[in-house]
Order: sequence, then structure tokens, then C-alpha cells
Amino acid sequence: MSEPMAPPEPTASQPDSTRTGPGRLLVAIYALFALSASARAGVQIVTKFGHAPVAYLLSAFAAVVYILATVTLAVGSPTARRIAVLSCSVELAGVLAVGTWSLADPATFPDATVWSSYGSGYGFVPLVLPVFGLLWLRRWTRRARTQRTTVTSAEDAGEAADSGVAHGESGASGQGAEDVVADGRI
Amino acid sequence: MSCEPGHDQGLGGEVNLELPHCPASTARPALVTTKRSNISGVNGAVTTTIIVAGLALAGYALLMTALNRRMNVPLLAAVGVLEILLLVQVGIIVAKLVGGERPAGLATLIGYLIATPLVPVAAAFWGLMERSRWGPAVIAVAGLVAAVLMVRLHQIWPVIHV
Repeated sequence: MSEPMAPPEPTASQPDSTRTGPGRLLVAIYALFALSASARAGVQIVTKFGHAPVAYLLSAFAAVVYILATVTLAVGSPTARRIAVLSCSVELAGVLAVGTWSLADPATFPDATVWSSYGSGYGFVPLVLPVFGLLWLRRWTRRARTQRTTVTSAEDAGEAADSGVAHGESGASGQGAEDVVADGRI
Repeated sequence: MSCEPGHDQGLGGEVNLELPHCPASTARPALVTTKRSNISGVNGAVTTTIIVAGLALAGYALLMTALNRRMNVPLLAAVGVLEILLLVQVGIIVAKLVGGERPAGLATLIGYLIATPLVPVAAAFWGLMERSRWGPAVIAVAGLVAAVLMVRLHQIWPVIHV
């Protein structure tokens, strides 16, 4: 199992979007939750809505938030990143609020939502996911800001990316140029 | 939901003892054993194999991520093996459904039957687009998800042994 299949390689290219690098993993997990939350909410609302209406509506809301986060993280434009920050924040607030609510008032939740008990039914991934999402997005926001103040041209941004590779620093400053241009337009 | 004796497909003589409307006293064909076995059941074997394979794939893929490896052919082959196992499992469950058995949550089960084989395929495509260590990380998620899905399938329909 552990035999090397290929020589170790440095991270081949710097992430050039929120969907690459660690973002690839984030988008995959978000997509998984988007799919499972929508399917679950859909089945519950269609087949037994009266049983636990609050829980099912919250499940549906969670599904919408996950879909929004998945799409915006995958798109990765400056505008999409802003929406992604918003949806991850709503998600984190939702997990904390619904988690607390479900523990304080179990009668309202005869059936579980994705966010019940802080997402314990899903291995607490719903609690951890928005934190990683926000950290990942913050790195991009900071990078964009740094690039805007220190880099004066697209060529310089390219050099910054190269030096990042040389130091083996994963996920450094590669997307600066594009970001400066894109941010400038908005 | 009907209360007929288990339509056994010759898949190891398993009998569902957990359907609430089917007491154990229901007449059954002589062929069928009443012992709930994990060993003789093909279902149980396939489910267990998928769980082990999924976890092993996840471990291997995470190791690749830790060692800074990119997606490669052996990892893709492992994903292919997992996919085949999942398709076999789906086939077995569909055979049970065609045989007339029904779980309580039929809609949920059908959703799982559609989604389950898509997981490794989607992960392989998404992982292949990534030219860094995070490609195998996506595959690791698929392996874990496959294992979790088997446990969930068992919860949805206890006929599916783990």
C-alpha cells in the first residue's frame, strides 16, 4: 500500500482559484452536503411534511445554503467569493443556532435536521466545514488585499507566484494578478 | 407493505427478521434459514467488502495527500474497483426490490441507489482536475462516503447486512 507510486512532487501549481488546491476538497465536501441535504429535505417534505415541519424547513434552508456555498466556491470570482463568505457565515450561524435550539427544545425536532445537535448525525462535519470554508476564503481575501497594495503590475504578481513556488510554500500568492484586475473592475 | 415470506434470491438464505409486520412465525419456504448470519449472506459479504475497501482507499489516498503525491493510475484503478463493488451492491438490492421486498423508506432507498454509484465517478473526475495533493484528498472523501453509505443502507433497510 505504502510503496511510492510516483516520485514526490511539489505542489505542481499554486491554487489559482478557490476551487483548486485545498479548495478542491472543500468544494467536494460541500457538494456532498448540498446533494444529501437537498435529497433528504426533498424526501421529507414530499412524504411527511406534517411530521416535523420546522425540522424539514430548516433542512431545506440548509440545503440551499450548501448549494450556494458549493457553487460560489467552485466559481471563485471576487463576487462569488463574497457570496461564499456570506453563505459560510450563515451556515456557521445556522449550525450553532439550530444545534442549540435542537438541544434546548427537542419537541420542535421530532426528526433530525442536518444541523441538529451541531451536526452530530454527520460526524460534526457541518460544524467544522464552515470554519474551514471561512478560513480558506479569508486567505483569498487577504491575498487579494496584499496583492493590491504591494503589486503594481500583473508581471510582478507572476514573479511573486514564482517565488512562492521556489520556497515550496503551498497555496501562496499565485492568483494575485487575476485578482487585482478582477477586483479593480468591481 | 405486504407481509409475505422473504423472497430469497438464493443470496445466502437470509431472512429479514426486522420487518415489523412480519412476525417470525410467518410461514416461510423450507429453504430459508431463520438464522441471521453475516457470513453466509452475499449481501453481508459485499457490504463488508465495500466498507473495508472504502476505508482502505481513504487511508491510501490520505497517505498520498500527506506525501504530496498527485492522482495516479493505481489510485484511479482502486476507485474503479470500489465503483464495481458499489454497482454489484446496487444490483443485489435492485434484485431484492424486483423480488417484491420493500423497505419502509422506499424513496430514500432509491435515492441512495442512484447516488451511491455516482460518488466514485464524480470524485474521480473532480480529483483528476486537480494537479496537486488535493486530488487524492477528494478520492479519500469518496472512500469514506462509500463506507458510510453502506451503514446508512443497512439503517434504511436492515435486510442489507453489514
